[in-house]
Amino acid sequence: MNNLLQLRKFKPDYTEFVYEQIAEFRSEKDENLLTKINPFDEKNTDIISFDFVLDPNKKFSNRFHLGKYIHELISGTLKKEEIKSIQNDPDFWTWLSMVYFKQLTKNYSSVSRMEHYIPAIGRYRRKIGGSFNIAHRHSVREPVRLYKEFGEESKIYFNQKNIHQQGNIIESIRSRKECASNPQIHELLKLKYMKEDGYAKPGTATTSNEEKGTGRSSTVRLGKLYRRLNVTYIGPLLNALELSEKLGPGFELDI
Amino acid sequence: MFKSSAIQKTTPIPISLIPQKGFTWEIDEAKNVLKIIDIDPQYLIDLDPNQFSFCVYGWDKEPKEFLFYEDLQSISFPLELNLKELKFGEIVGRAYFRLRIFDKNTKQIIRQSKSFTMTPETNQGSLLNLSISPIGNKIAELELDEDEGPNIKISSNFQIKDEKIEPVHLKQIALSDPIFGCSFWPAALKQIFESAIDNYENDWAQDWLRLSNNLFPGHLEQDRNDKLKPIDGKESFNLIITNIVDKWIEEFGFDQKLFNQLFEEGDLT
Repeated sequence: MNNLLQLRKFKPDYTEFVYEQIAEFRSEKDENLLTKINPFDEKNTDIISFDFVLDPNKKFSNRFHLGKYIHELISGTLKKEEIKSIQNDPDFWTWLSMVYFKQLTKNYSSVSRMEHYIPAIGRYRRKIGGSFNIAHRHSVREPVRLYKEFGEESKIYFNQKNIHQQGNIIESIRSRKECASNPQIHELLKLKYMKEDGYAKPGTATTSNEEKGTGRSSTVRLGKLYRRLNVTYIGPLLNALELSEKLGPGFELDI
Repeated sequence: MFKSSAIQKTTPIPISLIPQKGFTWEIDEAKNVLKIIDIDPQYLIDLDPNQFSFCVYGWDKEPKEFLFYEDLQSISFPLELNLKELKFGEIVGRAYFRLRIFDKNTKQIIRQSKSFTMTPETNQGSLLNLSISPIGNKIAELELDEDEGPNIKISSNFQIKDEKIEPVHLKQIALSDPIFGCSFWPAALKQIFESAIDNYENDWAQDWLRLSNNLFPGHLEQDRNDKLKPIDGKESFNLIITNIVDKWIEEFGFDQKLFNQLFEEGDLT
């Protein structure tokens, strides 16, 4: 059992090793490829903080709690400049996702695509994301960013039930720059979809299907419609109520 | 029934155009201040200043956005937008802006310009976008985006102990040093031309292919959509990229400058 760890990051060569192991696993399905990844071996890492602060055995019920834990730990341990230097460092976020890899993959039974563990940023931006920005899919970095931005209200973006699945709200909202950067979209999410416990109601991000008539009021459709709205309106100046009204049927508020 | 797709953008309310020649603007080399110098009064005079606002909307690739707006009744030109104060520092990739005029009550856009790349005047018209980015102790780095084209990043954080080499000096080296011109640029150009062929349907790629056709004609032809594409296929074109780059070096005189630096200015002899 490991006790508390220093904050570390992988050496670039080791991040590359992780990349290759995951890539091969996704085609070979051989669990040994994943168990060979060792984030606890100091030879594979560089130190970021000398304090022993990270509990690798901590269990999280979902990614909201993981993001909150890591955010509070980083902001309580690192200086402003150090935080800035790790924000877009793929070696740091890959290391963190490997520390909690078993949880994030449900004991290796649910291994998602590469970008969930190695963020598509820096030298991995094009290698993993191609011409698309998919940095929001990272299993640790995005929860931390969301908690930093919205605090407890960030619960609404997460899958409440488990930690190994991201959920479709992040994909439908955070993948779109115009939605992600608009605080009124966040307000609309709260008004329209939030349950009493702060998480989203079931079906919030159902994929819209015209034939079946499902997903009429889902965030998947909201993201697409908001982009359209910006052709005609100054979207960032519309408040949540105006957004609800202009987005049209499906986005009415029950207030 | 409802529309699930946003592929088709609709413009239900007519939006008139503020043409390129309808306003003047500039941005400094460090991309800190975007200045809207003036706007032709004909695009404002017919509007009720109590009803409409003027807006500058900008974005980059990160994605990051800013929105500056002011009522028409209180606005005065030149407008100087401090991008850092608008939380638009550390631009990632290319940055763009457009002007908009909208109804204050409905937030509806009634007039707007096309989008413009935030490029200093010295670089406008150039195929290569230069941007300042924290890439560490290297002079420059090529970023190649298949959708938007090439971008050369000049280091903003080249630092030895407590001493920093300012981006303006690094930019000078990138643009005029013959050793750099005969080493970094040929490698970068090779990648750019290869990518231009792979993505020949994109506008940026067509610009580069036009340049290649001017430098080393006879290897490209227009397809039915008037797009330049290789006559003998992609593989053959890749073989002549070295000739195109040679011509480019010759055009900018980097080879002659290098020769002069080494042999006539006595650096090597």
